[in-house]
Amino acid sequence: MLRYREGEARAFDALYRRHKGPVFRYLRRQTADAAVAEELFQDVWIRLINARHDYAVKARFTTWLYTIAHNRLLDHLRSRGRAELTSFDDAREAVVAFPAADPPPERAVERKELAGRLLAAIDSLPPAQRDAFLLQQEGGLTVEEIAQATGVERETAKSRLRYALAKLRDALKDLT
Amino acid sequence: MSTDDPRDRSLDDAYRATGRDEPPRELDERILAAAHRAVEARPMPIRRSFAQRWRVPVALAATVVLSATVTLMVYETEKAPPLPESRSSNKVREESVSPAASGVLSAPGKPAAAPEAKPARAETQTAAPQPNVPADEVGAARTPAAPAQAGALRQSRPQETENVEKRTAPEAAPAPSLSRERAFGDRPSSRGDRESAAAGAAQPALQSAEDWIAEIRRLKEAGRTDEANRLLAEFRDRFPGRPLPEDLR
Repeated sequence: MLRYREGEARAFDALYRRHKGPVFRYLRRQTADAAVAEELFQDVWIRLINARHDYAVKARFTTWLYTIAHNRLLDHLRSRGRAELTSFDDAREAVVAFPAADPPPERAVERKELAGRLLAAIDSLPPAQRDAFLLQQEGGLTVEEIAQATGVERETAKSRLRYALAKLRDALKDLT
Repeated sequence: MSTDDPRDRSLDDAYRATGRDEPPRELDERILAAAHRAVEARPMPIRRSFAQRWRVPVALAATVVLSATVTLMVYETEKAPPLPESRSSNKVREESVSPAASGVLSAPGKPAAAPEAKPARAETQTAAPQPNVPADEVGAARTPAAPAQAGALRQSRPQETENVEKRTAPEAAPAPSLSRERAFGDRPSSRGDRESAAAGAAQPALQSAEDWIAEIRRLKEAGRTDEANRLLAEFRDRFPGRPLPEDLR
């Protein structure tokens, strides 16, 4: 990011290639509409481009990137009166559209079922817990970084994450 | 990652199985193009920052130039008035002199503007004590009849007059012609300070009897007989025991 800030356009290409998938999924799994997710995704990167001169190495670039993404998502949810929830069907479609690997047929069915159940469980989480879980999974953020990106105390972030994991485990317990 | 971070490895595996969906390719291209455009459009902000960088120094320089100009203008404005004032005071001086004296003042070879600086002080010495005396009265005091009267008064107080002359002599010395003119024209006939001050201011150039004699001769040679005679009469008053040279008898 520092190289891009200094005017090296190729540095951005590398940065984008590395982070585009996780950021897109982070947004996609918190919005019902794929078009909205794409719009938010584009906004996040445009914000990052415009804010490049303000970037300082105070934290990991990933934390900064997900802070932008989180704030953009919050803006969107506020504009929708916080009623926006991830649609299970949309998410399941995404899973079908982008299979993770090529497992044997029986195993593939199991994995699909597990993934579908997990996505449904993620979708049913309270937004803050879902957000914390997705930041951990997609962004690879630590509790500390989640707290930083979402603007809460470390203990709050930790608590959200712990609740999210507990609920998801509970949702999948008959499959694991 | 902190060791006490809540984490479930089985959930991590399950989540990885949910898919690796990515943004559409056209979205990638749009974002990458925007990023490249932003970098290429960098000269704009640089130009802005250049302007911003120079804004303060330019403003400071302009302020300094303006301040200097205004100061110079004020200085020149303050410096200018004395000229018109001195001209007007010269004018007043000329106006206050009797017609006869004016004739002397305007005589060729006797520059009226010569005594500009120091005579101005002599002027104040003569003019200051009589602010309420009208100019024509002063002029009247400088009529040809006046010298005799003034001489009589001066004779009654010769010591005092001489003291005044000695006091004022160094100041008026650089402009003998005008002083002489004043010796003729600025001879007030009134009493007191006005007379002594006028006499003190008017006669310092002709201090010695030789000066008087030389001046009288010069006037005669110039054909200004009346003035020469008047000065001669005054010379007699002033230096009663002094024998006159042959040619002036």
